[in-house]
Amino acid sequence: MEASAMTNTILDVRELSVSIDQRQLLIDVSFSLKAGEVTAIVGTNGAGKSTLLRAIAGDKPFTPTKIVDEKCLSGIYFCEKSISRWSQQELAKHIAVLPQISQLNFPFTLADVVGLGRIPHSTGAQLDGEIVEAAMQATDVVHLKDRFYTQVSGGEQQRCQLARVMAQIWRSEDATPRLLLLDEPTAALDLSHQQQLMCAVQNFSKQGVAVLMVVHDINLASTYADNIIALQQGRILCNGPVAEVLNQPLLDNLFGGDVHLFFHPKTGKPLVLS
Amino acid sequence: MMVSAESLPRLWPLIFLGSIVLLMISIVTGLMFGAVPISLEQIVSWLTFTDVDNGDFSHVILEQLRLPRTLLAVVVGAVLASSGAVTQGLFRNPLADPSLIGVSAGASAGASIAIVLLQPSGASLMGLSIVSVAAFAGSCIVVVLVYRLATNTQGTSVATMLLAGIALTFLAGSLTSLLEFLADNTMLRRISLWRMGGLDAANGSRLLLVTVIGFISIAVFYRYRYALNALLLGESEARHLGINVDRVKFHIILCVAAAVGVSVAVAGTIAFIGLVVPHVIRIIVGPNHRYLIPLSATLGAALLVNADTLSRLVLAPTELPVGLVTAAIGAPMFISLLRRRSAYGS
Repeated sequence: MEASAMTNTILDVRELSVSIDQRQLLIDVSFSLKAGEVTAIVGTNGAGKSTLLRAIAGDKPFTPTKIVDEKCLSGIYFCEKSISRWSQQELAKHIAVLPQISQLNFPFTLADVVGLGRIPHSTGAQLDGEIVEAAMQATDVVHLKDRFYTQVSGGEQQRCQLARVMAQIWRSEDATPRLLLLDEPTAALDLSHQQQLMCAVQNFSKQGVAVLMVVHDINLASTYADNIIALQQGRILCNGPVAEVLNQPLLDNLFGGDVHLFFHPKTGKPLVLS
Repeated sequence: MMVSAESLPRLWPLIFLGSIVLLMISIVTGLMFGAVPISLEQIVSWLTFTDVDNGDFSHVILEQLRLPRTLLAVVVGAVLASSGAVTQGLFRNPLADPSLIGVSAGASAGASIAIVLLQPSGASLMGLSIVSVAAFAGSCIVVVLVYRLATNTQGTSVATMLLAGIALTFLAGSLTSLLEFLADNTMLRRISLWRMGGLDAANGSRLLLVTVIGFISIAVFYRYRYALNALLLGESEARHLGINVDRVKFHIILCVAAAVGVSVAVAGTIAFIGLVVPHVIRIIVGPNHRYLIPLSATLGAALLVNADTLSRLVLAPTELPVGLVTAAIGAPMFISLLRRRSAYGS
């Protein structure tokens, strides 16, 4: 615990391998996440981005391959403790997961859906109501709070789900450290809401939350993430701060030719065009 | 939703109290009407033990016939409706119903086997006739098979369970048909009457059995109210909210199978309550199981009590099978709600 407090490392993934039906989806993946930082996982389709996220989230078929390891070093460690040794209820207070698609066929109001994020905590209706309101404010759905989930657009549903997972780990008083896993949070969103949402995620992480997200748009990753993990065929191609890692050789390696790196004329951030 | 989400927590005690009052009125009406009408004064005097036996057997009718029967209707109605509510939540499908996992088909097959092959005499077990015991066994066997088929090392797949439920429903149905084909006329009539359902076989020990199992099951459903809400989001979402999804599924299926199984065993298959009542409640108070489960139980009970009262009145002194009446009341109500459903967001 002391070591983790000093280095600020929340999640430590060590030599993680995942395979389903003898197909290797992840091979020897190692990295760590710090509180207050946004890390983006990029890569082509099928590179293992979602698998990595789901393995950390503990989703069933994506559990790590057991490796005979006398020192028990390989695996996923949250706060220095193997994630499989955490109880599910305890973990839910620390880690929130936004899935790629969410089907909800029942007419909950948006405020009800966001309120479901408070299930792991017993903080009382009053406080939960305030947190729900604040989380909905952050993702710009507060004006829709009495509308039915089944009757709003896909983008609004997505923002509502993000508010739900943010509400789940909203307060550092309820649990620290906190980790937010996002699988393509901006998939169904228009440009202005993409920006708004990523800003909300960035601000949220500044309050001491580690964020790990899968993004397809490498420009979103370069603009809003602190670190990038590039995956290729289940292996980490490179891993590090955006400015160091994101360069033309990486893009060539990742996507083949015809993808070019520029710099944004206003912000100076890397910009990728094909 | 007819009640806005904002005012629901405030209005909830009132709504629930209202449903209890409705249930009480239904019970009293159920006690009053039948082949022999009993006046309200007679019921009050019977309740306060100031009953004078004036030779009309009213207290015998109340104690021996109407009270067990009405209370059985209360428990069976509550069990069917709340089981329907949680099954729909578990399957994340508003059209699900306990019969989907084979409970009713298994019970019908069991009852048919008993009627045709065992040709039961008056023998009984714990107050249950052989037919009831066989029906309960049939429903349990089918549910266990469905559950086993859908469970592997990665947990229980709800989608597989649905498909396995359909497959075993057909299998049990063909067994029932085969037995009907082999049966003689008396047996056929017994099978078809059993299947239409009826509460006329109520007695103290049966009532006690259904009440105990029903009460435990509804308490378990209510205990998992927040878990069921989270499950509406999806199974992995619920797991990420800290819910032990496999345990919740197992306990709910177990309770649905036991409670509906025992209800079907004593009262036959009573259609419609498990499907329609939760639907109607969702239109009134929304899908939150915190409200859905208790209100389904009270209004399901009220609906079955009233249906049973009607079944005794329509062709008195002959009794209609109560399943006919629940469908006749429920279907038009459901259709009228369906026509307006877009207004309530479902």
